[in-house]
Amino acid sequence: MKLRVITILLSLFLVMRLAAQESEIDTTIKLDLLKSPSSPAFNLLGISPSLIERPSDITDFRLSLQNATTNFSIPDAYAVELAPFLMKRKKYLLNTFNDNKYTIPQTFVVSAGYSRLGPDGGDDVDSLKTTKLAFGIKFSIKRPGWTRKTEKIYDSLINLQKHLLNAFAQISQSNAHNEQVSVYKVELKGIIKKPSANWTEAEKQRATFLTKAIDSLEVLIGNESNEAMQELRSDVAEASEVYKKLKETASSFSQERKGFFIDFASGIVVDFPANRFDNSRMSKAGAWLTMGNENGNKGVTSLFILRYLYQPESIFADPQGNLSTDKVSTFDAGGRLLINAVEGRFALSSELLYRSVLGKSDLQPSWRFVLNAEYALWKNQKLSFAFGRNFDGTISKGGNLIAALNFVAGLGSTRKVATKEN
Amino acid sequence: MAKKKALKTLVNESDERTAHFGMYKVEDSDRHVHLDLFPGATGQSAISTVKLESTTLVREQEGSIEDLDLGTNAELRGQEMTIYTLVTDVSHDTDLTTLDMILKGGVEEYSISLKRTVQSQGDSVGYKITILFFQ
Repeated sequence: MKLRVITILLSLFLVMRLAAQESEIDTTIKLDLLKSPSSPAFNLLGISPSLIERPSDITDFRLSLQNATTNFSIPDAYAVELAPFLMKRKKYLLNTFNDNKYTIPQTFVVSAGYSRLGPDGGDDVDSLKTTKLAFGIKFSIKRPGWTRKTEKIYDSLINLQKHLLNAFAQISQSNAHNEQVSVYKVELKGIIKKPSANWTEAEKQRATFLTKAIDSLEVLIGNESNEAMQELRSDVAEASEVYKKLKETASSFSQERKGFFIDFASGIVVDFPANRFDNSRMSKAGAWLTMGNENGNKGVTSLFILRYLYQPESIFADPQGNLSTDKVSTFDAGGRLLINAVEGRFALSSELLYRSVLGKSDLQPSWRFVLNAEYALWKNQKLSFAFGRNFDGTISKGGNLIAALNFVAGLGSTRKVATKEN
Repeated sequence: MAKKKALKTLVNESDERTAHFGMYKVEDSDRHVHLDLFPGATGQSAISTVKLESTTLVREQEGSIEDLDLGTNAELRGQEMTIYTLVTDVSHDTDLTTLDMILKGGVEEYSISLKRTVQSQGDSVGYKITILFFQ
């Protein structure tokens, strides 16, 4: 038995040595072609990302609109991207970014765009200009959680914040201006012992004065206390030390995520050919659903994309451009799977792309598949396997394992397999 | 039925203030007064402590505080509430730190917005709000 195992291993080793003529397989990852654009509406409308306004609150949005419509003139193009849930008074603080409950409101982005442009060469001719309106949404349905490392750093950040909050309160309470604040407060508390309805005019005026005076002093105390912490002063050495550590931790904090995710994006463009609102047609539309498992290229990492496009610029399934894109809908899908196992000794990567034109029988759906696998036997000795199928059905293979498999299993096989991709 | 008087919101916005002292008018009733505390901006990290006289109502709470019951109008008369909040600039998108406070349930709604833009990434800002309840 031992002899048989040694013989097989030796044969494998020899075959691996001899099989230097590995066939080349196109393993280029082309999944990026299907990825949803960062701004779906503007991508469909053809507006450059640099022209997009991104106001962070209502005031910014109002200013943006004002600037765009200066002197009551309507601009040739305007694009705005808003995160409506982030404009509310309640802000999403760092602690909510690791909770899937807040994923949709934190990632929800609405985009709206407008353009009134003429064809190439006729940009300035008013009668040739077509008005286009675009609208898009984008959000995450499920977001991966923080990695253990990120959670650990966050915990230490919170502990330092707790220390500094208490230190800040102490610094604030020991400020010299508090003496005057106390005097004013005693007087104010004396006045408010009576209901305000019974205050005399002099008491009303005094209460107003004292409130303003205390407020001013508190602002002064606040400024001085913050300065004391930030300037790392020796009289507040302990707080300054915590401040320094907290600053280091906070400035280097990054949210590393790991786990399952689902993202959705969609956009639509409506044309107004005669520049009239009662004459419109949908010129383009698209929807992207992206999901997968983010694992930092360790263990299992996967990505799957589904894409629907209506009247795209070019049809993915028709690279030669034989088919007109007029009223054409396409559905494309892609997947990528990466597996790293056995302490990094086994690695598998595969990619699948599917492309189709909906409702057209003259162009059949096609698919492409690539698979690469490697297993490290010993140092500098790897067993590898590669397999590929192109859109046209051509199959290719490579790696030293395939040679071994041919050697072992090829005795009774008459099937011919191409060794080179098209 | 007489139309109920709309609650007037007192908004005291000012630039780069980190502290505030104000008076909040309560009535002689059993109606409860509630506090909302919203630190910001989005993506920053914040910790808050809320005290009513010497009683700590909330100690070192992360993030926002919503609908905190401070007691009835009548109970709060003459009492002082102190809020300490520390906001640390963690977000790489903004250097702005903010603190919004809203009091509801008294005679009128009362709100205050404080803010400070930090000088460099990772800086922290300490905020203090003191409210004296009167009738």
